[in-house]
Amino acid sequence: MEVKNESNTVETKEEGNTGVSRRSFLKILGQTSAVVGAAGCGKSSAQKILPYVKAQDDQIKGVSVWYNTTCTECDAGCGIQVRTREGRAVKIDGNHDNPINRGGVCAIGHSALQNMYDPDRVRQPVVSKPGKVGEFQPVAWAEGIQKLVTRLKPKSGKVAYLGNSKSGAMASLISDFCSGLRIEKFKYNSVSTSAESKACELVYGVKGIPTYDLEKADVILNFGADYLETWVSPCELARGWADSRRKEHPARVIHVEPRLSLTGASADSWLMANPGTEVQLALALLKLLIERGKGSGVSVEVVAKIQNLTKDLTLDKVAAETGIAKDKILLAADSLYNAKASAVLAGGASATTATPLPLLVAANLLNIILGNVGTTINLASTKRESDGDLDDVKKLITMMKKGQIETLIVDGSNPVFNLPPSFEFEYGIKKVQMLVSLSSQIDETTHYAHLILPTNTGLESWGDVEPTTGVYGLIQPVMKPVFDTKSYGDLLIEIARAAGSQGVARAQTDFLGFLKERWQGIHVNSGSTKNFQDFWLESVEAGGYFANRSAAQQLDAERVTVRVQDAAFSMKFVNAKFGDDKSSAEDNLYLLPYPSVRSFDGRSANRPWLNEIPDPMSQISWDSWVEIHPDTAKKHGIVKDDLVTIRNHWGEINVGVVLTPYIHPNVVACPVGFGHTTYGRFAQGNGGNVMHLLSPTTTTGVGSVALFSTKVRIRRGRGTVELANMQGSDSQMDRELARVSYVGGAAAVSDHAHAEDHGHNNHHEPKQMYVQREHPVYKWGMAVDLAACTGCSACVVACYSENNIPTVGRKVVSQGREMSWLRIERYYDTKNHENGAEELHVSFLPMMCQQCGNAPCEPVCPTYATYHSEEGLNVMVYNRCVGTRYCSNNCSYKVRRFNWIEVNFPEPMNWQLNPDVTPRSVGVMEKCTFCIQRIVEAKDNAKDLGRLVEDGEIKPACVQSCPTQALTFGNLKDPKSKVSMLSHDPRAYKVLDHHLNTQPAVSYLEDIKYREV
Amino acid sequence: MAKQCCESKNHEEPTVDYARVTELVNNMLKPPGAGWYALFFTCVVAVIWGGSCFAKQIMEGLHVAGINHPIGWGVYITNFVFWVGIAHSGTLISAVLFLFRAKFRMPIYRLAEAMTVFAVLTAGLFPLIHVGRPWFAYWLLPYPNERALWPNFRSPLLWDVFAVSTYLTVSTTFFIVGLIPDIASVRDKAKSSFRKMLYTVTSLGWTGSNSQWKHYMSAYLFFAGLATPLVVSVHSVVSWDFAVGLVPGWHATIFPPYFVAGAIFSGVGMVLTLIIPLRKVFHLEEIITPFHFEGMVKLILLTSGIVSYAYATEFYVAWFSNNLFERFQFWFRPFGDFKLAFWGMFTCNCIIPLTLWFKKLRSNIAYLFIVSIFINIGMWLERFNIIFTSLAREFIPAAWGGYNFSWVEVGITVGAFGWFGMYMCLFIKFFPAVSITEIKELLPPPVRKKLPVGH
Repeated sequence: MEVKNESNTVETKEEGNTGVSRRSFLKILGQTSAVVGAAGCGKSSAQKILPYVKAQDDQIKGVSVWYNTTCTECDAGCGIQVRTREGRAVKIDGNHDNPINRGGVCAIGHSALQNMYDPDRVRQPVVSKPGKVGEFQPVAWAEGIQKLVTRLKPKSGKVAYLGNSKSGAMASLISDFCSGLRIEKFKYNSVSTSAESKACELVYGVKGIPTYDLEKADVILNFGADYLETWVSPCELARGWADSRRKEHPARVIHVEPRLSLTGASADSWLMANPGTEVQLALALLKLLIERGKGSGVSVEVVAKIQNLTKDLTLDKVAAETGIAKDKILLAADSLYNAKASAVLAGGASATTATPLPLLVAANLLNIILGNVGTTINLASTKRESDGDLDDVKKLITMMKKGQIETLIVDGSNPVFNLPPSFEFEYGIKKVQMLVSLSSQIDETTHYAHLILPTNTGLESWGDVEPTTGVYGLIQPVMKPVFDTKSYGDLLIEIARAAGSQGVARAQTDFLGFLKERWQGIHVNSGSTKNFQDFWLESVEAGGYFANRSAAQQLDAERVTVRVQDAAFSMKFVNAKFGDDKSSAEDNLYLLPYPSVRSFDGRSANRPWLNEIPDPMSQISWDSWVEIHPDTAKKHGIVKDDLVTIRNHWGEINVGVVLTPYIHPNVVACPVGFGHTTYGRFAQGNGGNVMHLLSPTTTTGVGSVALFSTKVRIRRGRGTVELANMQGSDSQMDRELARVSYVGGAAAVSDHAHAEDHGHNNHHEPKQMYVQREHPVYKWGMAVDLAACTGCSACVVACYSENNIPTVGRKVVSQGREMSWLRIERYYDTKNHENGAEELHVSFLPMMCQQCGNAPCEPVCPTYATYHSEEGLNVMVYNRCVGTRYCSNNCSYKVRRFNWIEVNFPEPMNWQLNPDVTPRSVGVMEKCTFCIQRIVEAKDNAKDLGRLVEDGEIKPACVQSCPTQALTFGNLKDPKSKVSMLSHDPRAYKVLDHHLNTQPAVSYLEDIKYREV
Repeated sequence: MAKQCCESKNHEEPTVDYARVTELVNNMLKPPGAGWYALFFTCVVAVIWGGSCFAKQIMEGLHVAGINHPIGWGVYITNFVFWVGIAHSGTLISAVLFLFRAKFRMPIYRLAEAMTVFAVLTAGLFPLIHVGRPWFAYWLLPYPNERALWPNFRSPLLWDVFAVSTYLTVSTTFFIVGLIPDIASVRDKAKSSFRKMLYTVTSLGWTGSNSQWKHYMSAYLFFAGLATPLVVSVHSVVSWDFAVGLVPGWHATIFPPYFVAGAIFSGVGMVLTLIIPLRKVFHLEEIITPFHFEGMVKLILLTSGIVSYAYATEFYVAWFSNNLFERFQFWFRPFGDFKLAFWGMFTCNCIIPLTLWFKKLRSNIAYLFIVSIFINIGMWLERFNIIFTSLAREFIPAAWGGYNFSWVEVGITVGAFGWFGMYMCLFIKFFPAVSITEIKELLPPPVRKKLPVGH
């Protein structure tokens, strides 16, 4: 770069040795600066920010737009609010107005974003490469649709459609579609509540799953139903359960199952039953209760039939068969007898045996004997069953194997993965001439497709659901489709039109029109006085139309009369059988596959959040495992870190092992949904698919997959596998981090009371050495109610989603370098009572930055990258952090996370990142901030309105998401705020504060547990 | 002429004369042989290996090292404390023992002082290596800036910055000043023009005049006095890196004296590791005699005793405190997952030095060398114990974890040894590693004529 300045040269020459004159000095200074400044504007360093040429009407840049819609991850139909920024969906919150979830969002619900932004999704229509399976090349939409349409012409051979049962408008459209084009429709649902529904029909006379108003119960007896995890409607039932525990007199929960599930972990009394024998316990309870006089509201004939059924039962026999002690059975009977309202549920591990109906019927009989129908059992609002009957699928398989199916359209279900291979679906599908998949994920079934016409995910679609009678949820797209995919409904209409079926969708041109037409009917039935357009817009804005579930509904519920069918008593009430004719004598263990909060049935496997956030019970991430009792493991010489081979006639899998004493010694349990062979980079290679071991047995009287009916043998596999286990120690080591207060008799007594020298949780503030900080306006604090926390980890996923927390993968997790700001610690503690009995208590402790008033991390940072704010927060300044990690060492709660690696979010997962939260670079420390971005946003809004922030206005992501509302956030300076009142609750305490005087801003409320004795 | 000194206990001075001393020291400065080149080359290769590991770490982030959550400090901080500790012994020997007029330090102290300077230089690498963003490490320095940001003076890491940099400057100045007369002596005998130039510059024009000697002696005394408190203060400050934290196993008031004693202990071990081969290779047996080793052994026994007492105090206080967390930590150390490190440390630091009570063993120079190696291993393990085991088992059991030993850390550790060794090799070959001045002070000055007895 040259500065031409003749005048300067002349002047310098003139002055010679006397130096530069003042004038020329200033000239040089000015010109050099200008040139340097100009040089700085080189093309390499300039970055452009372009505003919209035409501003959009509904968007202000920097301001979020929220859309209410309904989650489509499972059939529960929870209402969600999706936050979008500049047209991109970034966060899923819950919709408070939806009566199903009332604002809660489960872990899988949050991960719907990662489904939409899945980098492995099919981005445009593709056809399989000629002669190759599983390899695809792009094709245009018109061409792709045409390929299918030619197969739909009358002479083109048999066409079949396989899909799961949808509700609402979509179900109707699919029916029309299939009947209009003479396509034979086959239904397949990977999750089944058919058994439960059939049992309801048999005992109550009502088909479907009743609504359980658990909050009204004083006693809940549960045979295996994992309602806090995946059963029926987990957000709804978890909320009901939590409300029942928060009452003045908390509900007592008794849980019976062969393996400790997440739901069982929250029970007061966990009874380990011999597999398949729970029905005996149910019958024994029926007998005991009728003997003591219950059953007054039931007809004499029914009571007589029950007595006949149970006449040969003795307590000793039942105790011996089930393996449950007599006193426990009597205690259960006592509790049920004395309860004003109780609820008996059955499902999950206990009701997926080969003969689930006897137990389910017995449980329902218990409900009617106890008079629960009309209080806790609401038969006026029922849920549609998730029809797991496999008759359709078996017929389809037979036809496919015979080569009778020329074209098969699959909607996105994945029977090749979900259905046990012993049903030979994969064998059959290979014979289909043209397999068309409408999925946008290349799962195991779509892998065989010849043509993939990808459709929008739930967040990009219109639709509706009716999860419970009277609740109509609406699904609306929250953003334009990320990829070149089409709406499912629109696609069907387009195909039908092109194939000549004009009658489909009743002459509507697109699915939205069809949907609106259907809603005319709902509008009429609602009795609303508004016109349809207003009604429709209001419903879309609200996320649906939720008929008022109030006293009117209650009256309806009480008015339903129960009609017990004769067929309820015509089955054999014997223990469930295990094994099949192909089982060998060596197959001596019962295999229990169970869906988990993370994996469900495997549909959410390619989502890094759900893989990385550990399973709350086993604390394992990125892998599957088999749970084995230590005695059983010892017999086979299996120790920790071993690879275990599980096999039987039908198949074999190799997985890592988790040793747990909380499983029946003859049972081995594997989570469902792992072991994908395709589906994406995050899903592949994670563990084994337990379905490979299942026989083609279907449940008697129902026809669904008999999940818990197989026998297997295990042996030590070749090699070891280090499962990425997040948890350092399973025991609290008597450190009283997660405390419990025992309810025995009348009053709650804190177990902690006699351990310390003060008689109650110390609410006295100890004398402080230094002058304490002043908090002029706000002092943010949180309260965590351990009695309501189920350990489901929804809050953890919410935090990952809101705060751009990277997932690091299996290897880095096993090195101890996971990035979660909030973790759920799971502790097993056994208490030994004076009478020799051992009582298990499982605690879940959500641990996040405690924002300590006397923070140990603050004084030790050499660069002042962390300090205390005026509002009580421990603030982290990423830009100032040099990365010495002293703060993490000194943090007694170990909540600080260091960025060990450079993270990348593969496109388009980076679209999900929250623009209000800085992504952190490598070498920098990060931690929970109480969602300071939400605090700032709320303060800004309040300032615009000229007031202070009100209680409940700010909800950090975890607080917002919790399905049981276990977390509360607010201003501790306001004595009337919910968090202030909770922090002064007799159950409130602070973790480690007593030892360390860290003055955390987070108060924990002790868990509540009924003493057994 | 030169007689081997006898085994008498009262023998304090070496029985050599001025000329012999000069000759021996100049021998050390002869052009290097194959052995020196081999050693130097190995050190340089180690430095290159370590440097490339560090480069990898900068490119990829700290995940290549073994540190994780909860063990946020690992091999690097262990190395840091190890090297700073070693440095202290040098200053003790050259400054503190000078003030005490301990004669046994004479032939050793120069090398020990060199060891101090190079050890501090090595230790100074580790704060840069272990931080997440080393390119911002200068933020720990209090420099005026537009944002009016100062570092956090409450943080022990910042006290470290001051302590170690003070230590480096004082030790280096002490070292350089002390070397002046010896360099002048060597300058006068230097043959190659490079050496002549080097010595001329570094001897700062020393002529040996009386006033120069007077100034030299008072300067030396002054620096010795200045360096002495640093021996205690610097490692106390380093110990506060741990003691100021509330981690069980770190939070103990005994740390400053414990660390200082340990530092001297490990430094004496390192001095022996360096001096014994040096003595053998350069035939310095006349200058460095068993008497001097006896003095070193006494230091070892004393400091080993203090360190053992400190271990006992830690365990006792943990038990006596009835504090659940402290008790668990001190159970975990000898019986938990890292127990091998604990028992290794205990054996090397407490048990093996006890063998030096036996005269037969401590007079055996080869045995002393072996013991010195064990001392160094033991002291490295002590820092490992303090850092790793305390962090592995803190307050919240769910957060307990282990360590992932990595090749990058091994490479950097070896590179640090290579870095130190590299400087040592250069020093031994270019500068007098044994103090000509002070040894000559003890010898009778050469006279022209020997007066016969009775005259």
